[in-house]
Amino acid sequence: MARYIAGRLLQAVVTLLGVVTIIFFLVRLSGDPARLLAPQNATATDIARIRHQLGLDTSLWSQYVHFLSQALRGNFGYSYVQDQPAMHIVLSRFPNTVELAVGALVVALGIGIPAGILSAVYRGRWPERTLMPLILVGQSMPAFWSGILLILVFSVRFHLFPSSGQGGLRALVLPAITLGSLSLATIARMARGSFLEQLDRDYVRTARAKGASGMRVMFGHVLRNALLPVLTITGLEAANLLGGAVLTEVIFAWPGVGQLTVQSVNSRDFPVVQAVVLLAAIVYVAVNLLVDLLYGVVDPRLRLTGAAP
Amino acid sequence: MLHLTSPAAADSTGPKRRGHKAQLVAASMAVLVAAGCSSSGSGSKGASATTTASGASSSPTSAAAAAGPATLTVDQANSPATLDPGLQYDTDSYVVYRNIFDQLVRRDQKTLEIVPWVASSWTNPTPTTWVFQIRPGITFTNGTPLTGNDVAFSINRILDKTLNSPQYANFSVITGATGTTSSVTITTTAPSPTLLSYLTTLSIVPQQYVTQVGNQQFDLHPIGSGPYELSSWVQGSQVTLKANPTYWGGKPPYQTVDFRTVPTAATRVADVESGAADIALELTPDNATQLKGNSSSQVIAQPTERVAYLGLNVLGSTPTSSLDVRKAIAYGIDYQGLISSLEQGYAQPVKEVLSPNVFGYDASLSGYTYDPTKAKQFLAQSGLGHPTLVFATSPAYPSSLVQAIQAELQAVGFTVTISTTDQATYLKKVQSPAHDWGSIRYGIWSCSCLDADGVIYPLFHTGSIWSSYSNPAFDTAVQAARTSLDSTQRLSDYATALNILQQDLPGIGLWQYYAIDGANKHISWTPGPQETFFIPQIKWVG
Repeated sequence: MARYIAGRLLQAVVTLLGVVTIIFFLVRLSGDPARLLAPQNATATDIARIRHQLGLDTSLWSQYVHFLSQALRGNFGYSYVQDQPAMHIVLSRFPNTVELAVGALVVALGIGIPAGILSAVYRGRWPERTLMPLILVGQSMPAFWSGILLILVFSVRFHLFPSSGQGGLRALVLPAITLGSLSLATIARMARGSFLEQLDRDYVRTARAKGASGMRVMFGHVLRNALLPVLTITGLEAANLLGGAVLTEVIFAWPGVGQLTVQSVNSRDFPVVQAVVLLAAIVYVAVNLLVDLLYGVVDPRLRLTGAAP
Repeated sequence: MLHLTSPAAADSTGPKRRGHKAQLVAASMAVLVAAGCSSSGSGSKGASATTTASGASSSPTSAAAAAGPATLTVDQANSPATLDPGLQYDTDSYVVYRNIFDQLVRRDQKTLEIVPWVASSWTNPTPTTWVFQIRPGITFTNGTPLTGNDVAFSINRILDKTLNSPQYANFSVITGATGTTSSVTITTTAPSPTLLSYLTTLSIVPQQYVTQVGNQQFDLHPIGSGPYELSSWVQGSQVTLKANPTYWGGKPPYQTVDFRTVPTAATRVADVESGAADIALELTPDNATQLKGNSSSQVIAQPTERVAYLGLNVLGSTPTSSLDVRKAIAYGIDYQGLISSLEQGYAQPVKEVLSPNVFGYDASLSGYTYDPTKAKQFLAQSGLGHPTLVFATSPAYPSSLVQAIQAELQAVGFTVTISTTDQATYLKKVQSPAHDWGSIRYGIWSCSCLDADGVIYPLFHTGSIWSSYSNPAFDTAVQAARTSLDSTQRLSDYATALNILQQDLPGIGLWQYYAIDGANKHISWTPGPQETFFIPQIKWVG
């Protein structure tokens, strides 16, 4: 197991190096931050001076070497716009994104898994015929529309929840529903499919034959087997959510990494973009690793072989 | 700066609207400037003028709010990038930090004249020397008295190229400032009629404190002498200011003021409707329509100094290098129709690339009005058949407007292709000295100085990064106006320059832009053409 983890960590380092290298060159191909930073009545000389002070007038290669050597020391540069350490800015937003992601996952799992199970158990009957279309509608509505709709109904009309901003559980409800409804459909469908597949298995028939109750069959036998694919999907969804949810964060004025990403890309704030991408990559790699390890908990067979399926 | 957002903000020399943005929908992108009190041209009265504080208009407003709430909540599209006035000039930072700091001079909201503020009076003994007397008794919130040395420090700091101040271009005419306890002397490279205007944008920082803590700490923990001081700042989310109990201008009206970052305009509207916010800044005409239906809210809309315009590429290898083509374009646009439909009436026609409230605006010019027949005639006269125009734009500009203009020009015989790139790439193209960016671009411009110098000089002077036009006679006229303190002569120079522009058509004025904000119905507030956001002027009535 230790060797497996060590191997995965090595893979992660290579992945991260690849990601920072790609993003380093990609952002630099995409436009000149000096022009965006310069006041509009600036002269070409003013813009050149800004470019020089940002160190953007040296060769790409030397900028890259400088960036890597500084990054290894934990220094990811200063934001061009905010004049603060880039990684500090990103990390200060990260807890907000985690809060929103957790809220969204609670919505997605809390509704998605029961809905999936119900749809599987009552396949072809009214619970499935009601739930699955509803879930599909929830997934089909873009966040910018469903978010505004929720605000108009629950904030403006009924004053039940704050219309924007962060602060306490009440403020989390609407953005979590907006964001979670997207993952909810994926998880519900996966749960439904997975349960249907397991319900047809021999061991289920055997369990029933020996007289186990429906509840015991579901929760004692089927659940753990059926949850494996759901776990995989949940891991991917969690990793995506932790990378920041741009639309939901923008609509609800949620000060997370998603908003910051958009802002920093638009202003070509290279150090912040790099820090955001690096952090997102670390999270993605870490969550995937965690999911692989969780497989072993859910399915002991995988623990024995020491490899993920 | 995050230019994420508002379409408007993209090219202006005043505080920049970001916005992108919302951009990101926004983002920061954004284009116009809104800014506050700045100023000029009309303030120039000739060399050796003396101005002193007089009358109520020049004394600090004592905030007069009736029994309003203890906390005023303001939604803005982007978060302030920094609260160090030397480091930032975008709108979202500007509306916040100008309440923490004082300005040397201000512009009267009604008369638009420049009036004393921290400076109680000033003289210009020579055309390039200005001496300001500093009002005694003003202290920073750390107890240090505000002196002429602080004013000089605030100016010299911006001029220090290592600070990389975005405000540098506004003050680049200044060679230096020297202070004493009670006065500050500013010298300029040439007579500068817009100096006072730009000084209205200057926020005064405490020399001793900044020197002691350094720029980085000062940015996080700014100290000023204004009506409010920083209470807390959650970057990207909210800035909270608290009243300065010892403010020399009177007791501030609200104990605290929350500036919240709410990128989506529809959410800002919902916040005002639901009572979560008292003021929502930077709304669109559509937002205004929605807000009008809510009995607890109001729309605050008014003309600004921003002008919406089309820039035409005269120097590039494109059909717009032909004067007949440019005239066909100018006659082919239904200005009033666009104002009624897309701007929903929140705009006023103009006759040139200037807003009517700007010094130098020439109301006697005929301008161009919609006449499709003439447009077709000029197009036929150009001998180019049905030329293809490239309309360069970015997400910072409203695509609906760009498409509407495209449709109108196609109706009179042009083929118009829209070339959209991100804002950074757009700026690189448009500002390239190769002038190969296309044929037409849309923009909104403001200098935050209420003076033609800040508009037509950067847009059309030979060699300016925004200019794809060159005419020595025009250059001579605007250069003369830029270095004269004689306002009569300046008006004459601008009349000459604007006449040349009317003939050569390197740009077309579309309309005077309106600022649209939403507010609780109890708010009484007039931002003025420069869209100033001074909290003591925002009253709570009823």
